[in-house]
Amino acid sequence: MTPDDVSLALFQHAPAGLLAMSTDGVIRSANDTFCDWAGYPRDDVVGRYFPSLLSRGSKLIFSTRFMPLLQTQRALNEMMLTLSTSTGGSREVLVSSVLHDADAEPVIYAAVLDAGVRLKYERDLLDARRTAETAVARVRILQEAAAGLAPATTMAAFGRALRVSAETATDAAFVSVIVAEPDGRLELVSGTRPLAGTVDLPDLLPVQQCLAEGRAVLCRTAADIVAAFPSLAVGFDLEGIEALCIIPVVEDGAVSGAIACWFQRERELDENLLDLLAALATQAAPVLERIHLQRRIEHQSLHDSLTGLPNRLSMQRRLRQLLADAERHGGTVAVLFLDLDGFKTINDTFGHEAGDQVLQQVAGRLLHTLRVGDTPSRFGGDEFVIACDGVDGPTALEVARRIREAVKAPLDGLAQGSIVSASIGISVFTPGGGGRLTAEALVALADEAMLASKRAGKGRDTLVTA
Amino acid sequence: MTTGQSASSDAGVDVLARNGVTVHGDPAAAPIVFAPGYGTSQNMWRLVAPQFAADHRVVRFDHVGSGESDVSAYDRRKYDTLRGYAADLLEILRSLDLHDVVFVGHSVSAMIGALAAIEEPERFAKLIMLGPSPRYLNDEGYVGGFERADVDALLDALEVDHVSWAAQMAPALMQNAERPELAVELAESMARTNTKVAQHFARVTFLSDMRRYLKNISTPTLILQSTDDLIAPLEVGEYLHEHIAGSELVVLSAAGHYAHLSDPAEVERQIRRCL
Repeated sequence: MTPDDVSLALFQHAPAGLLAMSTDGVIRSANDTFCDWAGYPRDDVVGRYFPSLLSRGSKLIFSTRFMPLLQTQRALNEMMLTLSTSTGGSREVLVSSVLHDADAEPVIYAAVLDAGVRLKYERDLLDARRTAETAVARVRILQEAAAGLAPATTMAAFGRALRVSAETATDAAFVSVIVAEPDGRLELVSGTRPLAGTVDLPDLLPVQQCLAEGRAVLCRTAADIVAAFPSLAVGFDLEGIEALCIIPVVEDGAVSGAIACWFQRERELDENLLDLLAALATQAAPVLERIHLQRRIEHQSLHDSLTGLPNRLSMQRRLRQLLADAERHGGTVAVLFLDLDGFKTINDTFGHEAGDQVLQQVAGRLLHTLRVGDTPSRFGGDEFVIACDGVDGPTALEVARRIREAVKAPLDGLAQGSIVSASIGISVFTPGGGGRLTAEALVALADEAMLASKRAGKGRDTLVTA
Repeated sequence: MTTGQSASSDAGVDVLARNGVTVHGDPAAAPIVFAPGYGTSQNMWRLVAPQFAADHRVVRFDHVGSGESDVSAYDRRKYDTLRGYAADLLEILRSLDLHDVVFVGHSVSAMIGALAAIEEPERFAKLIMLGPSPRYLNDEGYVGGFERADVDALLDALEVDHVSWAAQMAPALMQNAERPELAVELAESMARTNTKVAQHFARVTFLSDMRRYLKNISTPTLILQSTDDLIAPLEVGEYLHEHIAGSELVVLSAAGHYAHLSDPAEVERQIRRCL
């Protein structure tokens, strides 16, 4: 054989497919090895689009990776592709390629290596790496959620920590953290939600369904949304919502909230993702329970357990705030000190339970009589203190008159038909009167005025100005 | 809740740097914007865009995560939907104060342009879609050309790719580095970021379904579809033509998915024809 023959034989029989093609992928020349692998005679191979010999997935890779990379880098190494053979089989190959454009007509040269075994190994590696990465990402998200949730003492901090974790986990366009308060109200504690302008939160059907059933609600496609929530489909469409998942937060068997993820793309929502969201919800549940408990304790420390009214501590705080505001902005504050007349008799006659009922009824009547800016409190025993913001002497007397009217209506319950009356003392604070007046001093003045009312014959008002 | 509201569309962002925007041609002339397809950069328009510089204001840009864009601006939530990219496009048009734009979008950018034109139709004079597809996956009664497994093959390829990409990058970075081991680490981390971004963009591109929005396109639309485009079969062009009111479909013969490279003169002629 001449050296030229050897060169030709090398080209034809090299243990690699060799190709030359135009820049749009039309095969100009191919060696025997490649034609064998493809399973076509040379005449069928030359003139054919190289990607037409590839599997569908490889066609996608060829068009979106192979060609653009070759155009920008002019060379690429070992891209993994799958040849579709004439017999319907497939052959995994690695393709290295260069763009040769020194001549007028640019050419792509490619070497095709059989790589079935190696690619299987690569795929296994890839799968293992993906599994490991998914696990690492999951742990990181759960750790960050724990770090954010643990110190949360407010609903806002709780909501933010949970929302950020859910956003990282899902890449959702919008995440809403929704809490069902013990009184049944629903609160959006963090994030945004769809249809905010048109549908009230309790009427947002996917959330409603999740909270009612305590199960995840999933819509992976726009068609799923239309099928499950036809009445919301138009609104979701306008906001570009194409998929959603709502995961319940369950606390002691009761649904106490939900993580709602809204996607502007159809999403597969695979098991891994749903497990991760469920794990976040599981982390969130005890934190939500703790915040609810803290709120309950705080409420208890500031409220009277018998009547539900704010207690003495709460009233002192409120008054301090009102006085500070009045001094700063120039306004008046009235304090009404109310003591029941005839309460001891009822207690002695009908028992303490009857007395408790009387206090509860008086509290209810106070709440009905007072205006929005007025704060009632149970100060102790049968004493109530009411703070009225921006109220002057004459108005305070009018408020006191209305209260006395309401209190002296016949009672219900164990002391049915009995009557109590109210002796009221009023102190009014007007700023600029020289010296600072404390909340305690203002209450003491009203207390003295109340005693003056008692001395004057009960069931009346006495006004002093501070 | 509107397009791309979820993330960094705040006022302080330098939109033009973020998207590697380049502007050429006559600043006073009518604007024409060229947008690159999946996995490519504005460089792919190099044979077509300059031809318009004499009589147009020619704008090119890269999507965040590709080409000369600022990859640090890549926000997975924002770009989990093509709407995030459409929001960027509108921001570019606003920063350059462009109106009556002729928008030429290749591949996925055709749909990104369509979303932007649905949102702010007054900015667009014409949509020119080169090799577009509203949905790449086959569906009942619809030929998209691909199955879910094909997209997985692409995602796998992107991941295997990253190893060789890092190996290629590392020596270049090491040459000038005082501590070469850090350069290797850097190459690896850049490769990792690139892979993650490319995979995410691939998911968003190839798993999105834009068919339901086509009826909302009111901008005059020209669809340029190749007979042999592996990414977007001819049926897809016909589907688009049927569902975009008043659209025109032109079939380019044997130009492949990159007609702007393989037959730039014809692409230019088609664009000029409708200006």
